[in-house]
Amino acid sequence: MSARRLTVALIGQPNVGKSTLFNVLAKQHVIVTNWPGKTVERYEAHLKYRGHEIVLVDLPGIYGFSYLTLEERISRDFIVNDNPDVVVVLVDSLSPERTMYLAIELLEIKRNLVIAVTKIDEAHSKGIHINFELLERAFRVPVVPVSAVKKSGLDRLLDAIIKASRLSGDQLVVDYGELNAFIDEIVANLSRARTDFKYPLRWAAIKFLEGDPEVEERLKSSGELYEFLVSIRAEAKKRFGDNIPSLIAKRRFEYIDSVARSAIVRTRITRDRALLTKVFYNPYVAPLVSISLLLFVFMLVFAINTGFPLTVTLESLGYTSAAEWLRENNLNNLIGRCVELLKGAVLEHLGNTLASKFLVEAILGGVTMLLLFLPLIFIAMVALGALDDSGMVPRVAVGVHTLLQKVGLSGHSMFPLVMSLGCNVPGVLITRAVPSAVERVRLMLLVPFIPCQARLVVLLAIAATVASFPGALIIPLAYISSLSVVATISLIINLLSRYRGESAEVELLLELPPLHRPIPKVIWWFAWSNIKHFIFKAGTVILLANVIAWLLTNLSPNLAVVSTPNSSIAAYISQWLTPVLRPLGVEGPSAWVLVFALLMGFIAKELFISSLIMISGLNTLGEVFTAIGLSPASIVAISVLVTLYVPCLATLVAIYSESRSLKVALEVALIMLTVAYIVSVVIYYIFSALL
Amino acid sequence: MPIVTSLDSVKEGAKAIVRGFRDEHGWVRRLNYMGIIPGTQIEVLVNRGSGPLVLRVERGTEVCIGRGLARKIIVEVPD
Repeated sequence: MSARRLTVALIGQPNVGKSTLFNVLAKQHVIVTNWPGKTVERYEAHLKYRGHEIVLVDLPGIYGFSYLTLEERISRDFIVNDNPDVVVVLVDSLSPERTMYLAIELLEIKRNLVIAVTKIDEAHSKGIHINFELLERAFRVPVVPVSAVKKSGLDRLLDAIIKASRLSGDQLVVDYGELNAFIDEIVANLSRARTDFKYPLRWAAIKFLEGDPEVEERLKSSGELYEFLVSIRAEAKKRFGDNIPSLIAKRRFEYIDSVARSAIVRTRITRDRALLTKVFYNPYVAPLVSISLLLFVFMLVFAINTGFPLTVTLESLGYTSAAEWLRENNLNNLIGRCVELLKGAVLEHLGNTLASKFLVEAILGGVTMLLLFLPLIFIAMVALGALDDSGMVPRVAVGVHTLLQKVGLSGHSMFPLVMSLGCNVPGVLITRAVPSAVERVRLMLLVPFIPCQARLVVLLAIAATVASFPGALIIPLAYISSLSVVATISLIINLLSRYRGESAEVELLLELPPLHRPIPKVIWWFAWSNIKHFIFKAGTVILLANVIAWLLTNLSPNLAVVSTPNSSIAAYISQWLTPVLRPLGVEGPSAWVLVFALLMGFIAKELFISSLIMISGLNTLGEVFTAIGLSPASIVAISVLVTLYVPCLATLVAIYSESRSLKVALEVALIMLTVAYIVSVVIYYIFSALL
Repeated sequence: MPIVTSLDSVKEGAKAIVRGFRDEHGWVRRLNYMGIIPGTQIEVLVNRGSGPLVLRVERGTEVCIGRGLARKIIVEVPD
């Protein structure tokens, strides 16, 4: 056996268990990049098996090989143009006939194919029995049963890949009945023409009959040949009308059925989800159940992390000591205390020098920030993984689809939006569950406007400074204005893209996989692969940004070390920027303090308050506001400004690492600043007139 | 006599057989890939007169589709 390098593509329809299988095969060695020029992630893993070096490329999940969606284009271009040595196509043993469609189309394109039949452990318990030898004989490629969860069949799959790399001969020929004559004629003309056409001719002929835009484009340059092929297709259309594509799909399924009839046996069919179906698709119950489920997940995340809102509930029930304990010992405080201990130890060990100060404040400070986010992201990812694996995500999406459609989003957007009420970072990260790339980019702009827990803390502090009428109004006003901003921006984007003639309609076409109890291992894979990405990508940037921020607040413009931040570079920038706040009624010699705090709020919202108090040297926020000379109208406007402008550095970093585009991240920041500024100026004028 | 109509007007709980599509582009191709082709039997699990429909498709699992898309599917409802 000669050792060699094999490029192997992994492909399958959505929900067949592809990412699970990829994770098991890849173990930990996954390389994440982007498809060239696309915002879709490309997962690659390098394995060594029996002297072969296998490069496993995970292709996006698709239903078939049209050229409509980004995912379809990526997958098809890779298989047809990059011509991997072997393609492994996944078929779901729980719905083998339907998911075999993609495999059949691949058999028409490629000879070096392996069919992996997934979830085989579940198939047995569901009474589905598959004769793999019969399938192998029909398709003339290896057919391997696998179970990613039980890790069975993996070696057999790798053996089959090596075997398939040596297969040669013709591709599968499906009987298209009345269309055969037309296909044959197109093939004959194509092969006579001897162009540099590298597609399998019969498949290309079928695609041409379907009116595939890409095959069409490639043939157009062939002049006379193209004219002739078009006339053949016109003849076919005269006979069968416009229904050729669905006729082709019908013949493929007939072929699948003819193979399945002898190779697949079902002993028992269970249909026991009648009640659940009724509940979940009721137009009034569904959104309620869905939203409560999401809110429950979100509350759970926050109760563990910060104690809120469980502390409030416990208090109102009379369990004051339990609430007190939770407030002291929630995850956030525990991490905070550990870090404080560590900082103290470092300072004691190294002495209070500039270097130790840098180490503690800049480096450890950055690490703390990352550590504080991790449990949030982890719990969010576990919750999402459980919902995803159980088959709940598409059902929740259906439940709220009609509601979200009104502002130009689809049901898929619900989870990121709700999660963002807690923290924008996991909110941005889980936009990856949204199938439409267009909607995903939109969400990256919308999600940061959702007020997170950190902003709620700031708002509570500001509200406490104003005792009178606007004080009680500050929190609802901030929430209402940010949610209206989300809805308005979404509508504007929708109108803009409709104006440009882009995909105007939010269509819904979702498969609802059977509900089942989530498997802990699969949840772990989901959570870990998502978190790992964040730690390494976002972690380095957060650390770097924290270092820069430290330098800006600890160095003077001529790069000398300052004793107080009042003469730091950041302070100079703030003083220079102060006129910007004049339209909000913020003026006077101390106004720059507010600008400085807003700049710090870029890094993390909590810093807005702590830096105001630190710089002014006063004790409470109320005193600070009085010292600056803010009117109640200005305070209300500032509260809206704080809510709407960029949530924190970590969110921007998450947007950057998810979109893999600095441009998108900067655009989001710029749009947020502009919107926040305009809305708060308007609020200021309204309240100055009122008060 | 069987009635030929578009899928969005089929009542909840009724079964229908796909006869064709109003256009052959975009989303309809996706429907084909999911096993919704002429001759496929479809059971309408949910249809409330507005909002999306939930279907059980002959070969596979349940599918949820928007009303606009359902309007493009021509079906025959047996008596």
